[in-house]
Amino acid sequence: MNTNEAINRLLSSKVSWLEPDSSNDDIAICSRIRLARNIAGIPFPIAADSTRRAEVRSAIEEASGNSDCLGKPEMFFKMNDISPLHRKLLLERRLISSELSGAPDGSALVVANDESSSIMINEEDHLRIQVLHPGLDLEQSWLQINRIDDCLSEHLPFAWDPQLGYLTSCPTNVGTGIRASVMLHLPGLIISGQIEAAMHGIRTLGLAVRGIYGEGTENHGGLFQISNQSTLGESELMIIERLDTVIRQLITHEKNARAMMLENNKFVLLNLVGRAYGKLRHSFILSIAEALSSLSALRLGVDLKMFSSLNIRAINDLFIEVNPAHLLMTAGKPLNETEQDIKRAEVVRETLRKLETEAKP
Amino acid sequence: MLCDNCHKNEATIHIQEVAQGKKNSLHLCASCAAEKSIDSGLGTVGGFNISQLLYDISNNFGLPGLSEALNKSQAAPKKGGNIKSAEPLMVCPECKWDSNQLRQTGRLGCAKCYETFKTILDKALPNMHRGKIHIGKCPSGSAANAAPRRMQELLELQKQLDHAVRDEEYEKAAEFRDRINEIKKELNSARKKSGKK
Repeated sequence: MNTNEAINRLLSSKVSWLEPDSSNDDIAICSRIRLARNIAGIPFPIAADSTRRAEVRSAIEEASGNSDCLGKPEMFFKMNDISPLHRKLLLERRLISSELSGAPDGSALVVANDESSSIMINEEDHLRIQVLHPGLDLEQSWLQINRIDDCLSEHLPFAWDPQLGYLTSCPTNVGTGIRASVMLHLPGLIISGQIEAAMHGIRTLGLAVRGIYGEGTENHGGLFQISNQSTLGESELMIIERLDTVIRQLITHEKNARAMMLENNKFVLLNLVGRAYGKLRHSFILSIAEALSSLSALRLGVDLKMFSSLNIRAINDLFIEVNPAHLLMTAGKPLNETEQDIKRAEVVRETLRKLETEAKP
Repeated sequence: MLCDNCHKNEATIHIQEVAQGKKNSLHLCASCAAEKSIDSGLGTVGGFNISQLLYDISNNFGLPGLSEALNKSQAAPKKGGNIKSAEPLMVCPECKWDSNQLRQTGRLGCAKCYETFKTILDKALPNMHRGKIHIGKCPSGSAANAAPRRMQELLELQKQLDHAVRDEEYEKAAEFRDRINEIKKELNSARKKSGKK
């Protein structure tokens, strides 16, 4: 499969990790685990010349292509071969980092056919193995990535030290090389003004909190990512278990905040969701910030069963589709900022209209 | 507010991250942000990468974090001494990465660098992590598999011992203590056998 075919294939398929997770009231959107690994005897990407980087790329491509570690992956992207727009697209789909996108020489990406696992090659480390699962699913994510890692280590000699574990370019990743994170939708905590306190609590536990689109109360999509920081001195399972416990508590807090609002400020909540729906359904110009914050409110409304015609999956997809590179790809031509806002409004309007038509008997 | 990078233009992009109780802020002008490949369009920052970005940049600007940890370990010029105050430049024999590059980027050049810059890392690592010794998984088939497994067992036993003491179950506690001592002995002798580490 050549690069263009692979890009088209990615675009035509739905993002697998955005499947709804009804077991947690759809508060947890997706779980991600990545492992940082390096090949022994070769300098880390930051100190490797282009010959060594190319050597690393072929070794990893061969290991993943000729083994069953990632299934039989058909999607290989050499960063040098793909346009900045396509790189941005991969970035919006969370398959690559801005670091990989910005350093194309010798960098590449291998994606499993179901998009649930991938390897970034020559990012900060030689390998960044990544697994993405819908909902809160750290345990299965760990089992999958652990299997991939074991499989790859039979083909590639990883840099490892008995005291320090896996050796990584940045000492903040040394040891397990693991970063586990969960993306959460927390509009209830934002609206009820509890978000800062909740974040503070999480941070004191040594975990990192990031707004996906902006921080704290200025958070536009109500989306947050919670992840571990420390990678040395604890096993992978201990790290994951601690994160999982904290996430479950946060989900309970979010549920409580929603229940409290429904009981005490029902009309404030209904008004917020209703206005968001109006904006998304009827706007002709929609900025990314407006789109995200309205989608967040609408998602809350769908969670609270206020819209029989809408479903969480469609809203999840919109969170990706309203981003610039996806809009440009949909439009099939370059768009300036104003044109993007117009296109964005059209995409959202049409999606909602279609869903409503389909839902009618 | 001026840009933290060029100190010339007005900062229009503000990034904030709180990690391990420390708040890191970064204020950049549009051109420096573009250079650091931060997109002011909201969607494209991509969440997962912003931290790395902030982290990298904070290292360059001496904000709390790794650079602080690394620089703390730099020997302060001795008072009254007329010896050259700067710490001698350390260079990795394997990849030629040097201690200045380490301080500037917060990154190491190769696996050997962990030995080369051990004195710096020994002081920096405890500020980043919960422990000093790896107790997670090993590459499959690695001969070193046993030690980390034992370490993990040790940790689990320590937890159980704490619980037993808390619940005043002293018989159980004594049992756990004996098993802990056994494993410690075993690990020590294995370490001696494997060399000076």
